Amino acid sequence: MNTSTFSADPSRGKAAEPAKTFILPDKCFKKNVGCAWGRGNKFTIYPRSQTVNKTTTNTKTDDKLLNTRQDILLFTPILRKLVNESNGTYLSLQKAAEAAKVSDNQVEFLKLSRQFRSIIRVCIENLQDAATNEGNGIEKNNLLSYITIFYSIECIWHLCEIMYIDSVPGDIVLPYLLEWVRFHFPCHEQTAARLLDACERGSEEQEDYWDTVLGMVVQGRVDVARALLKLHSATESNEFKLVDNSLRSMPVYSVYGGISTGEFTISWKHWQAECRSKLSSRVLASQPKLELIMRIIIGDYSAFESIRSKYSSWFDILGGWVMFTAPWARRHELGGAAAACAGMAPAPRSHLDDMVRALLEGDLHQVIHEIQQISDNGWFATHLTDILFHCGKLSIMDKHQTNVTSRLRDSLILEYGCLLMEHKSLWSVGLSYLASCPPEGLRRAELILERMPVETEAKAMRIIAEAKKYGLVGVAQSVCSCMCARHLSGGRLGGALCWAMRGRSGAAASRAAHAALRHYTAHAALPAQDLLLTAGSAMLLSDTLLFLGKYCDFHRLYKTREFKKAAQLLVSLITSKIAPEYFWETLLLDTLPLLESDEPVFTSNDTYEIMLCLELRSSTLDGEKADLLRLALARNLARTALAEGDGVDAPQ
Amino acid sequence: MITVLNTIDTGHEDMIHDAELDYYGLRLATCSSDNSVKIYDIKSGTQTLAADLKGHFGPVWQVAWAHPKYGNLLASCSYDRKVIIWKESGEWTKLYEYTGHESSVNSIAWAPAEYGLILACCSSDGSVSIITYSQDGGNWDVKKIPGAHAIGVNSVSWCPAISADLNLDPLSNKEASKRIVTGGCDNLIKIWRETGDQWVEENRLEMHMDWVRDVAWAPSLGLQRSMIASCSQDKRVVIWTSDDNVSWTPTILNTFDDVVWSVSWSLTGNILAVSGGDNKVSLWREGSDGQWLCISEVAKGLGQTPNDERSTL
Repeated sequence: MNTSTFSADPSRGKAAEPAKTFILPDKCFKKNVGCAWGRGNKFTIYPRSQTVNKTTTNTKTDDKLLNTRQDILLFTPILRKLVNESNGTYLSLQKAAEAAKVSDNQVEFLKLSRQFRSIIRVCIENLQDAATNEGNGIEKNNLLSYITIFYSIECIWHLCEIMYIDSVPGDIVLPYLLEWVRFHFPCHEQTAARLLDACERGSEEQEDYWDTVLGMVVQGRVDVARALLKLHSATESNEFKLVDNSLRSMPVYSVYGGISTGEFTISWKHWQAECRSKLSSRVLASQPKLELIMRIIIGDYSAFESIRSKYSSWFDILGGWVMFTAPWARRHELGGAAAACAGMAPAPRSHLDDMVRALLEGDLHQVIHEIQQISDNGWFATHLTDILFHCGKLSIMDKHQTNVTSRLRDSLILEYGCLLMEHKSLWSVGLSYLASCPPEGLRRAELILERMPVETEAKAMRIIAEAKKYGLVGVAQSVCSCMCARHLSGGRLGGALCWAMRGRSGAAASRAAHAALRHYTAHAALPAQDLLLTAGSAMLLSDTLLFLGKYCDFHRLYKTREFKKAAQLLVSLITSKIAPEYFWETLLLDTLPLLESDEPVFTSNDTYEIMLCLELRSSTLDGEKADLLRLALARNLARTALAEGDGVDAPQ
Repeated sequence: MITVLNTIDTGHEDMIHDAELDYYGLRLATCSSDNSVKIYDIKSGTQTLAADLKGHFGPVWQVAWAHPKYGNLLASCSYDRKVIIWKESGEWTKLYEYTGHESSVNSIAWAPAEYGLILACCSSDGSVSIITYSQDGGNWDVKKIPGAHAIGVNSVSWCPAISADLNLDPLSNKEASKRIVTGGCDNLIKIWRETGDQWVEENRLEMHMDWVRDVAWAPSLGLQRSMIASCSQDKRVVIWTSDDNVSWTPTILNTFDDVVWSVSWSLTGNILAVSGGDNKVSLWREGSDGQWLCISEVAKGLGQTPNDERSTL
């Protein structure tokens, strides 16, 4: 399950969330209940009884087993692209982090962070297209809820990037914050563009004229606001000129502007004091809308409060609030502004609120805790935590003040990797995450990889190739052994031998070779002769396999009528005594045709050896066969002794 | 959200005592008081009865799948004092029947595949048997621990091969000693180690105040830590941890409302499933601070599964 390993720190006054209870159809549990694990998030719930029925009536129970699985949103086909593409960026990030150990690599991190954001953007666009084309109501709802999820993710990621990954000149965050607000909470933008396009005097006739002007002021688009004011029929009046003048003369800070923050602060405060005095002179009393604009640009809390209800969230006015109260604010100084804006209206707190608040307060631990609650199966938490970790921006202490940052990062990646490994085609992606988290990641990969269902030989080869890529030799061997066993139980001995040799497993090779030899004793046919004759050093995996290979070679020699060589090989097989017990009969009887060949092929010494073995193993042959063999041996001894008798070393 | 993939109507004529998914999670074996063992193929959302194994003459308590590198093998143990090892080659047949116990055989567990084909069995006669298949002879060799727990042994579990000797490098140390953990009616948990051709008691863990019902050694994640979960009729679940497999520290996971019958670790050992007399399965995991948290519960209910949790954030 992709549930957080990290509980909320109790000292934060937030108890661990109560566990979710899943209710299952009740029919299955009249008695007790048990759980059998499958791979990953699959398990089977069954009615587990610990006792025996006391009553003797053997009534058939209505018991059912439930095969259950955790729902994984990321496995929705439309999100496949997100998973795959973010994997590529993740892997680049790991490389960049490796490089960052020797040199600063913040620029690269920023680039990758943007890459993640553009992946999210594409994902949202795909979801939007799909939602538009979806006819089924339930499916459409699902897609819309995914869109909500990824909107929030995009929004938080962008803010995180500003706060922790981007390099902000002079640490003056305002321009970035305004950009964030404009991008994620666009409001009145289209109306403003329409009004400006039309360029008609008297635009105030349009009902959302003033909302648009205010919206532009609050988003810090002062120029647009001024241009809109020019469209008002009374724009030539003194009141309008005064406001326009105030907006125009607002000092804007720029790091490269050549003035220090101190100087800027002084001139900005001076400007605001002027605005304030104009306001208190009541010259604008006849134009309440203009008065409101002035009150906003002097940072009047009640003015902001009065317009808050026009926006769906407090994020919309955050930029304006910072702009007109503390434009010099640095990144770590935004907590107060967030609190002020959030407090303007008694709106119910949403999850997104909590995340943005925690982020602006600089409480990354809380941010990560919150984003783990998003139902994206940890995609966001994993990737964001990882990039923040590599940027060196994450420092999380547990209650004993030990730094658990890397453990947090690792645990998220491990969970995410394991999750993907369950999927029938995303498993190799999951593997790449696990491999980036040694040693535990590789061990987990090993456990899961070994249990990947192997439907075909090709799949087996694929698993082996992936395992070898990460040095998991044990997995490769285990898969080969299992394939070998499968072929064996299906009676496909050639396949079994092939897999045993591929896995270089001695035990599996022995099992397969034994099966082949037994098969030969019963059916007089050898499997996979080509393989056995060309296997080379793989034959050394087991004595039985070696024996099988040599025996196969004997058959080849015999077939090509190289009787002398065949006989020599057979004698060496007999004398080396590595033949399994059940194979002696076959081996001894194989000497018969050679003993009776026209030309003698066994020397008298060979014949003695065979005789000795025959007498030692006579129990393996039935009497008639043994007698037949004895006769043949005696005859061969006679003719070879005669022939050799002419030589020097006749047997004594 | 948890989705029910499929429902399997077992057709058992009496109560089910155990269900076990095979190595790949594609087959499910169940056993019952109706003396039978059944095997279902549960590929791709459908299920078919693959075998109905009849060979026991009493309630069958537990089933266990062997590693597939030994072929398709399933062991079952029963009240009839027998352990049967079933093999599939074409169809399922009895490969071996072990009758060395004098009372009900309560629990069985295959050793880590690295060690070979070895099965541990424990019985109400108080003893534990370790039966080993020998490849060359094609026969089964039996070693017995008599009087392992007074009154009876309820559960047995193997130490993973990789963590058998924590202070040794597992890769270079193939000869690491084998260990098992057992839980019994004497309220004790005992750890046994193979030394030479004997199994000796290495440790006894005392904490439970009533019969120990189940013990489960956690899969190893390559870390220098071993973990055992135990549960008991005293309604408690205890997690035992060790850095060296010699000294063990207990942590009480939770005290439940009813007797706890079984504990089982997920494949990668990160989640512990606990089930008992309260008709619930609860899933637990360890937080970074060593605290155990219940992350989910599965309970019986009135039918419908709520579908609103998925919504947005």
